[in-house]
Amino acid sequence: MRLPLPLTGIRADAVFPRRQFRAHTDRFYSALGERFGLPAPSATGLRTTFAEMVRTLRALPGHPLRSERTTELVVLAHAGTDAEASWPGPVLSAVLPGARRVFAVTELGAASGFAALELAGVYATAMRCDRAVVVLLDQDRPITRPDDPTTWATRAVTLVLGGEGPPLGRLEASVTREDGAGAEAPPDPPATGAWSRLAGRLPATEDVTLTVHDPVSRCTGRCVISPAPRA
Amino acid sequence: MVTLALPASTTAILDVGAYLPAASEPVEEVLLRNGVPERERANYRTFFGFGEVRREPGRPLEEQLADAARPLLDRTTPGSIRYVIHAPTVQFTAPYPEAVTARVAAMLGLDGAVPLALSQHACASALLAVEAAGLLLEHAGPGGQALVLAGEKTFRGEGEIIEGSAVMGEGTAAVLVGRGAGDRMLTTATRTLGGFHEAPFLAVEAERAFTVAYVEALAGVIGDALEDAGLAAGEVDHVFGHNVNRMSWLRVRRRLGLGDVIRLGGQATRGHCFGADPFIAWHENRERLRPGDRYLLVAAGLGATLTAALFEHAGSRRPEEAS
Repeated sequence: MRLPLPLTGIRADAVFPRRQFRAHTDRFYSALGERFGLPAPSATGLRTTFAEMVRTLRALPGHPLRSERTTELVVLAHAGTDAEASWPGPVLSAVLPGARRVFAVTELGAASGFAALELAGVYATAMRCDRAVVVLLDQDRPITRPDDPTTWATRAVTLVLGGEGPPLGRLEASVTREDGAGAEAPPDPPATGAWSRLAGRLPATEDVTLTVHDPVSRCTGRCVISPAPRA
Repeated sequence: MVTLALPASTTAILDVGAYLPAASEPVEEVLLRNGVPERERANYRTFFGFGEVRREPGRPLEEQLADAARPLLDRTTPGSIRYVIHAPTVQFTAPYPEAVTARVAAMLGLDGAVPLALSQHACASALLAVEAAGLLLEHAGPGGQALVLAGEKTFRGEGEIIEGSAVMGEGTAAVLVGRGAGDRMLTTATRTLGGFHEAPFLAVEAERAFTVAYVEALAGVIGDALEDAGLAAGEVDHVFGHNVNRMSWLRVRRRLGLGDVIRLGGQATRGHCFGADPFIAWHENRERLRPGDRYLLVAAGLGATLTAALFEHAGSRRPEEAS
């Protein structure tokens, strides 16, 4: 769908505090991992949560989530599991009194962020809202296959739709079911990988197209960022 | 007041399916296993209204969700389903790259539907998913439908109880959402009390504060949903709510002046089935729904998000029944 609000901001952040985790998390993950034939999570190592990540983002000078009154809609997107069940949505609702909907989308792998944009578009249309924020979140996985040595960067990409500031482009975002023949491997880390290098390329003088394919959901995410008309 | 009124005559529930595991377990056994002190165990049956919970420890969630959905697919054209949306309480139901929703879509042969999960409203996420499905369908071309799924595994020890509130069960629900015909969604009201985002690990003082705030907020969203529709509490025919502490529902009923319309009949036999509760209650009471009945689907989620969605049952309300 063509989003009703222009893209007015995009930034990538990669500095997040980590801490030791509580035992109840690992009991939950042990049960979940066992169900999928995965080992229990390692008792060592530091982790963060999506709730802590959005709290950190909000504390950063100039971050779009600091606009308390004007943010009416926040859509979060993540591909991987949280390090412990946390509530980043309610954390943001507590500090954004103007937000009428804050929720998250997942289970689409690398296409999760594209679905977040599509959802932001349909909600912004229905709400007639002036400013929405989409936050894509990645962190390393607490439980993985023993033969999977990869680790993911902890990273967030924030996209601002509408509000103040010059437009960086108009967005057309979609997620469709396709077989993905010939598609490239999913970006690493999945939710933010396709987006993290975009900040330096906007505004562009011609269309910029992002395309990812998630082999598990067999969905392709597409986003075309068209140059915004000059004022 | 944080409400979002959707345009009238758009999002609609077309049908609801439900699945309950056959095996049940007395709540006392679940509470004992989870270390709830003996002096508190009796409260769950006597005051909160719980009795038995349905569980299937060896059965995957995707099979339980698919079982709720299959009867709906027999009564529609599967190719018209554009989205399959699971709305879990816990923000993940499988470790990446596994995805429960994609597995359900594959099991049901929904090869053209986009499978995704929506979360962060905890047990109220399923109502969010119905709302979101309707909005997505508005932009997906005519005749499109969405399948919303609710319900989760309790596992052993971690997801089995919410202390002082509920004992969890593994019932699941599937909701066929469309636009136009069906039970129209009239209004939706949502409030998030974000100060309680540490739930279910709230400090004692915060827990007490939540108990007080909960009844007021739940009554508040119901009141908002009714006010946006221009209805009085006495004009509601049914409330299909979440199965938690029965005493708190009585307080909400008293505060709002609702009639004898809160359908909590399944609480004693299936427990609190995460986001599936309102829809299972709808399914159990479907024979009681008359054309034009106005009903509320209500849910409260950890975190804490509370949602009330007002619907009008398909068909015209007969003059003698109209308020």
